[in-house]
Amino acid sequence: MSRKRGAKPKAIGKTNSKKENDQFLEALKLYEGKQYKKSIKLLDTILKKDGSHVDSLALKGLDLYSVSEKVDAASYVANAIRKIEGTSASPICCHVLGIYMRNTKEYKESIRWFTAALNNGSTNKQIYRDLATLQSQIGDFKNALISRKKYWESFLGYRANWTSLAVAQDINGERQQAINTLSQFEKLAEGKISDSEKYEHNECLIYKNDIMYKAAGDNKDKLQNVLKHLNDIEPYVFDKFGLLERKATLYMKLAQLKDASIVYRTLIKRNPDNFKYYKLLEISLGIHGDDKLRKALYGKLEQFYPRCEPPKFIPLTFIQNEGELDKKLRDYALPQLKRGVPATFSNVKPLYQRRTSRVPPLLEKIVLEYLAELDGTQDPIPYIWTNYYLSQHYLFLNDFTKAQEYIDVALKHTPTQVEFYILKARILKHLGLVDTAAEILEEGRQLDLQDRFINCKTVKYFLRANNIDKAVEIASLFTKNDDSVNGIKDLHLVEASWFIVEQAEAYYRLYLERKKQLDDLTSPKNEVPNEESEGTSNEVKDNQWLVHKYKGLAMKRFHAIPKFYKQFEDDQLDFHSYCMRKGTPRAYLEMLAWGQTLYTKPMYFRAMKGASKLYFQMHDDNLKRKADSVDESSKEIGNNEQNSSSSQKKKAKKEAAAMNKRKEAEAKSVAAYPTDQDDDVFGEKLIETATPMEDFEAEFYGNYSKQVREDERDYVLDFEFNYRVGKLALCFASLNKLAKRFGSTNGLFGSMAIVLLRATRSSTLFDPILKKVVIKSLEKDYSETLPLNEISSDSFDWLNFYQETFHGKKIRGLLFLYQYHEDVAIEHAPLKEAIISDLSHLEPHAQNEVLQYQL
Amino acid sequence: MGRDICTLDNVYANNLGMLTKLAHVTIPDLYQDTFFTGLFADDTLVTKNKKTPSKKDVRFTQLAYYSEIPVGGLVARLVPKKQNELSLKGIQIEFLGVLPNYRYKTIGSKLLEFVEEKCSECHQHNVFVYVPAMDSSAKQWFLAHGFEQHGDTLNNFIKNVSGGEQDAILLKKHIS
Repeated sequence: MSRKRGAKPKAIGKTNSKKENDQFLEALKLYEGKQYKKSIKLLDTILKKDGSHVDSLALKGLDLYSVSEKVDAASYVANAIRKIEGTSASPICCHVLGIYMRNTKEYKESIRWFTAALNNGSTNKQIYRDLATLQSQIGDFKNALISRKKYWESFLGYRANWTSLAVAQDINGERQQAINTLSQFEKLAEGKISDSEKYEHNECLIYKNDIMYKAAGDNKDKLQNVLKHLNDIEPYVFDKFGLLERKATLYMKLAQLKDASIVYRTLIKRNPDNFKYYKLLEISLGIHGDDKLRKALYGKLEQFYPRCEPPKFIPLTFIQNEGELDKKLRDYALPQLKRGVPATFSNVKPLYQRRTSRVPPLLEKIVLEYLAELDGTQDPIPYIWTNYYLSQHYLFLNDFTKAQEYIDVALKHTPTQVEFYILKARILKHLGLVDTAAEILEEGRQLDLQDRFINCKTVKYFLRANNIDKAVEIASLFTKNDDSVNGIKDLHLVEASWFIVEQAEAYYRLYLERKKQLDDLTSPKNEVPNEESEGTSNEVKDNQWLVHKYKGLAMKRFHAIPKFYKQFEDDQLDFHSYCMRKGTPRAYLEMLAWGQTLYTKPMYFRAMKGASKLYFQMHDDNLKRKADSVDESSKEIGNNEQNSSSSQKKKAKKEAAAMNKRKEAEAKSVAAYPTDQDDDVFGEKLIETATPMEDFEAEFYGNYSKQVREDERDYVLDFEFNYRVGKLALCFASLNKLAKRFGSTNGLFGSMAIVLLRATRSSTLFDPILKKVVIKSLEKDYSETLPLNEISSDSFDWLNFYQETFHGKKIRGLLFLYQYHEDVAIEHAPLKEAIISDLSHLEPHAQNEVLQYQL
Repeated sequence: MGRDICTLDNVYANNLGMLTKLAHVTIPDLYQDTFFTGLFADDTLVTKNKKTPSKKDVRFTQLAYYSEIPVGGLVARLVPKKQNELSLKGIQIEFLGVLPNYRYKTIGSKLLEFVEEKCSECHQHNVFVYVPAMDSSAKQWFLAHGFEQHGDTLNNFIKNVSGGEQDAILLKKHIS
């Protein structure tokens, strides 16, 4: 790609002797010709004479990197940099270092060296383009604009340079300049656009209109101007939808509603299945609030577009009259059931969600009546899909018994329909019967082994049931398993994040289960280790390893997810130049916007949440260990010395060897990356870190926190993180935002407030000044809700206070308190009781989750 | 849409599960699992009417779809030589079943037609089947489709999964 093209530093003779210089230039040429080995050989002769020839050191580093001897490369480059004062090296040397840094993805450093090359007198203008690319990649658009401009000045003959200049100006808010840049080029190119350039041209034209539109704001004259421009370019623009949509928006903004409605009708004609256009048509016709007119409108449209969904569906969202709604629902749902449309329920589900009190009872009645007319043998197809529908209907209403009844009828009638197994399993999952659910899916999967969808579903359900081995076995049927025993590596390679996250969560659950077992085994009743039977001690060791393994693997899998996202971010690099060459500025800007919300995407967030549980636990354990360490450590050392007789040493050695063997064998089936790229298959290094909070911030939280929108933040996560790093003021801020969103009688607010309150008592380790600040803020805002006088009193009944004061989301608040019960001095047992008595509000599977993994 | 709502298609290793399921549902307790897994044991495509060079039995299998849903199945075996006194040569239907709710829709007839076609392709003149003597509905169905009883009731001829035994009768249809 473009990277290699930019890599042509020009030589300036500043080195010691002429001969050396010539040799170096020769080596540089060899590098450019990709003859890295020869280049190295030549450089070695220079270095033999003069070991501190910086240029040669740097180039050798780059050569070594190119033949993928990355460790040696790093040491040569480091050596070169050590010998340079600041950045005062030859421009070639700086350029070489810049390229090396770009290859190793240290973009900031790379920018530093590229800039240095230019400052030190390089006349190679190509550097500006590379610089602009890197600056865009790290989001330094201000300097990117400068670089773009310099490059554009040197190479005016390419459209790409004009486009990139305009984009850079646009990003920096210099809209008028951007428009001028684009117009100037249009003038230059007038009449010279060849067929192959027409697409690029059209994109740039509509992009100019985009900028004009953005610049116009609500100014009518300017909008008028934008409209005029749009009409002018219309024949040259390929994206007719984009053009018409823009036109309609302009008419709307100019209050020419009639014209807007005409454009929307045109759009509907072009694509009568886009719901958005119908909505906007209503608005442009000014009938948005008038149900009668809307009904008339959709009646008409339905005649025009009898095969289209929106005109049939939209009236169902607003009709109020019971009889009429009933009739419309009938007309909508029954023909679909009659045809045996499997997705009938999915089609009406939005109505279930938006009009929960009205639509479900009506449809229940309608569909039950319809089912009564059907005969399983006469009309098998409508019969099974109607039963399928009703099962989903009752599942939506959380009536699991009925849901099961109907799906069982369908299954009995036609046991060869895979969908029925999926739904049946889903119902069982909601009931918390994860094992049975997985078995049902497995039965369905056996029917059709080439169905990828049910394969994935089955894998997911087995993971939910913590049966990782079976899940991996099934998943591996569809993966590329060249040199590995299963598909884990391939699933990482293809970035199958759904699988990896599910597996991580399964490992996490197994970790919790095993830990519980281990705690039971080593509980105080087995105090005297010598009298323990061999069996139990082996069991303990086995459990210890499993706890360790599951914890490490959970962490390892959670870590795989941010790796993907970093890759996504990095993948943008090429497009800073590619989009300009191809002339797709609009898509480019979309990509930038996407890149700026990358680390807030659901899958990333889910992995972060999962990892946070482990990291927070590790942090808390560290603190506890530190507190206990004084007396504990002395005791243990004493024990060890007593026990270390030679026979026992031998035994320990043997056991360690056996363990290593076992680990090696197991490593094969859990390895996520090729062996040479991964020295921590079990994630042991990850969980043995001494600085869990720092790791969490660096790997997960930092990026998220930078990108997430203020109103989408997870306040609980923010609170828990800041609480552990001692930033109480930020905890208070999270609390405040939570109160604003959910009110100050919300259970989560209550539990967080209690934790924060207790943190301010004198015996905690937090900064005293911070404590004061927090107390003051709490006094100011919440003195009426919170018992501020009781902060330090150990006898105050916080649980009782919580139960009496807070209402919404009670169970979540209780669970939060449960995690911090030691900090807030609430007795373990009554708190647990309170949680259990509140559980009944949850679905069975959620109850199970709490009982099994949170208490 | 002009298409027949009922269609036939081959059985492959990947949807063998469908055939197995259909057999277990329509005729419970008769077939061992190995009967089905054996069909694809060494990847011989049994639906091909070529005679396989190996000594293995040649079998024909089909799935019948009603509105894209598999509802019926067939396994038949080519018996080129008479094996004993009682048996016949020709094509033996080992399994032919349609889900109860999809019967009387000519699905079974289609499967039978398929067997008869294969029969003439293989230059055979008999299609025959053993049905349990007690199962009058099966017997009725075959008789209605042109089969005739051949010989007497065979005592304890059919063995089911749990080891029980049943009497059977042999029905055959002559294909000219």
